[in-house]
Amino acid sequence: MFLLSDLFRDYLILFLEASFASLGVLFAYVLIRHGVANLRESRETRLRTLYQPAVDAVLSAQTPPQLDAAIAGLQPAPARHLGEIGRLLITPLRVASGSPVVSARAAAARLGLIARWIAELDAHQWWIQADAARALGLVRAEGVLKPLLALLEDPHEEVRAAAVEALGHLGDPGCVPALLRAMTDASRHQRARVVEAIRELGPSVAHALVTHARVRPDDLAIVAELIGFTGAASAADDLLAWSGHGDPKVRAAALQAIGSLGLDDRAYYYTLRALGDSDEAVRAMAARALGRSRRGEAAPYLAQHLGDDWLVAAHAATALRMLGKSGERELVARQEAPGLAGVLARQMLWERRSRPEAGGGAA
Amino acid sequence: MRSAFIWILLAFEQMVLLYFLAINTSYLVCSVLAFFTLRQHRHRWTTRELESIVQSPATPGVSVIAPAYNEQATIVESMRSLLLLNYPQFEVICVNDGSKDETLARATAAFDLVEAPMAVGSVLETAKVRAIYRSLTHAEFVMVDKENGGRADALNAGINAARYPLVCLIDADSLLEPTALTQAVLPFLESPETLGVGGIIRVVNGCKVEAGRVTEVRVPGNWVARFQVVEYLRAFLAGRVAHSAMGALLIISGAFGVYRRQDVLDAGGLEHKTIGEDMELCVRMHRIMRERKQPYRLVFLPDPVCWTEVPESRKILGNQRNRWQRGLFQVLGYHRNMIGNPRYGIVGLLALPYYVLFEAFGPIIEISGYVVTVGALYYGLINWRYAELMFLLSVVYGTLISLAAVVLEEISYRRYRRATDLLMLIGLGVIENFGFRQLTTWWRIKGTYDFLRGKGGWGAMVRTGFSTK
Repeated sequence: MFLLSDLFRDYLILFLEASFASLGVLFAYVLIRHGVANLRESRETRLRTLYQPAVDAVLSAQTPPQLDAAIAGLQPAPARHLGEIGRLLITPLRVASGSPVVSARAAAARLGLIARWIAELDAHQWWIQADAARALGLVRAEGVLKPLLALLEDPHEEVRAAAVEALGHLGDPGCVPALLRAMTDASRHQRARVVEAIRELGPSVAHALVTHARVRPDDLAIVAELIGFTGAASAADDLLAWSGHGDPKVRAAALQAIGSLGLDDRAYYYTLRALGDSDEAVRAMAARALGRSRRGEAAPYLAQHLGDDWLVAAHAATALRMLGKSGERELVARQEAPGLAGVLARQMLWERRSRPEAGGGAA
Repeated sequence: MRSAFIWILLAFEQMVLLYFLAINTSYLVCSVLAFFTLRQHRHRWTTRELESIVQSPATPGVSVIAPAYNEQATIVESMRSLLLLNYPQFEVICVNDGSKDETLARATAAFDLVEAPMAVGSVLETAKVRAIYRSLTHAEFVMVDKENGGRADALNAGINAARYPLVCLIDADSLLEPTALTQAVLPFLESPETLGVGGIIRVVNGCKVEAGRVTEVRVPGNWVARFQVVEYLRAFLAGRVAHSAMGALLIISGAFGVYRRQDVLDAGGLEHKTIGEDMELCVRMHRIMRERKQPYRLVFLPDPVCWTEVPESRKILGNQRNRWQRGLFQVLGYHRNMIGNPRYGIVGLLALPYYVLFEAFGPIIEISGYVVTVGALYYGLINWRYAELMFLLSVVYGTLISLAAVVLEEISYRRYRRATDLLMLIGLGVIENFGFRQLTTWWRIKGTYDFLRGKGGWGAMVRTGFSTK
């Protein structure tokens, strides 16, 4: 009879030796790696301590001579320290704008960092490409629109995501069509990134968005939503027109955007009309917009929807909570009502009393 | 008669040998797969870069649901840590599952809870909800007080009360890192097909905890807890990373998992008849989506960290392992027609058979192996030297797998910064082969026996509380 154990017996010692060797290799690997990682960390800490004051001087420079002097303080740095200096320069830019960005860009250009980052856009490792794209975006480098747009087609999702982020920082409305095309890219929260990038482009992008929507009516709903995010009041007319569109998704997105932009008299009447829409999402967005308008005269209309579908009723109740005294009057009148209307009215009254910041204080 | 007995003994020995080779090789393959996955993952977005995404209005709100049963020692500290989470839109729903101690009273005092009228749909059936409280000091804190119905029932009540599209199900004693929620939500933004995301569970025992945050990571002083550090690293960094990469993740740990609320409701919520409700929900979601032939993803992410207190006494650890084993059998029993069924793809053909063979019946085969080896020695079928070599090989192979897990930790997250802690972890990988491994096997066998006898229940977990560390 063939026995596995016989076969195994012959190879047992060999197998053991191989396992011991692997153990030794892994043990050495983990210890060496630990040591190297610790060394790398202490080097980074040392370089940060060394260059942080000079980088701070660059970012806080108020006049060109101050900036020149600050950059001169960084120029003797050896080439192998440039990577760390670049990281120090761009880190504060994630939350800064204005003069620190201009100063960081000037310093990066003079130190050769911009040329280095542009070259790194073609690197073999995706993380180097992605870091370079993000760095170029953060310093708002000039003349990099084309290579960044090309990165939107990169096979690696992280690189595409970094390109979207960088394009948002650059603030060039010319990239809007490419960004909207990137919205169909389902990988790595690309949609959220595109929304964020377009938000960052600000109200100036409204014209490009509306033009895009005219050429590609399929994108109407998302364009309407984006206009709301950018706060582009110049597109209000288009939004009002879209609030009567045949597709309920477009109507709801347009009303959501109108709510974010704020209501003038005309928009107010369009929104009131939308409260009677056949689609639940459209009515809900209309209720939300009326709440944000803080116009007390909308309260009786909203109160009629406390018994509507849950989504509409919840938005109407929240809106009433935000409408000051007139909203409160309607809520009080309905707090004993049976079913959802009564429950929502009681909850909103409670929230007004216990959390003034939720609407109770605003009249 | 005697020759037949010997023949059976030999055949069994072959089987145990094959099993030993298969299980350890599968662990090694998982470790190698995890190595490449983690190396890629390491270069993904850093926390700071994630922040800008999280501020986006496209980011969905999350309801964090923590069931609490007799958690008076840790309730305030745990909830405080949850309220510190760095996330733009979230609420914390603590469900008091009919605690007999001062859980509710302590939470009421600490967070100024007042009873509030709330519009709560009862989509999922649960034990009676007595009241819903909201905090006057923390607008995003809600406490649901209900009659006792078990962990799954409490979670279902929390899911009913949740207002946001994503629900994060955790244990009341879990400490989430401030960025954990942000990281766990990313797969949902990334792909609308994502149904659930699990994060890594790490052992908090021995670590320094200040104001609800882990400020210094250390290996615990207690030996029972120490062994579990290596176990958790192995299970999460090697096992779950690899299973997730293959699309065959069967457990999103109950200590920390994020789901789309609507999908949980569609699936019927958590099953309160099982004690393995976290695995059951995951397997049920696989089942539903595969039957509907819809694309979906259940993902494990190695970086959203949830710290949890593990048992420090053998008795309580034994109860826990016994419970896990019974839960595993229950889940496999519920979904037995998925096992080996090609209709369920990799889940039916690989993941479930793996759990049946190596997790459910593994302990029985392992103990049988010891018995057979003794028998084979007695009848002279193998000699002592061979038995010794076999044991040595099992130790070396086991150590190799533990060491591989430590390597995975070192290449990815480097939580254990001190060289002494690292050496301790490696040492634990060796020592656990002499006693601890056999002990867990024994507890799991007892669990199997209890399952066959039809024993239910959770057993108690005595918590010492983070603040005292």
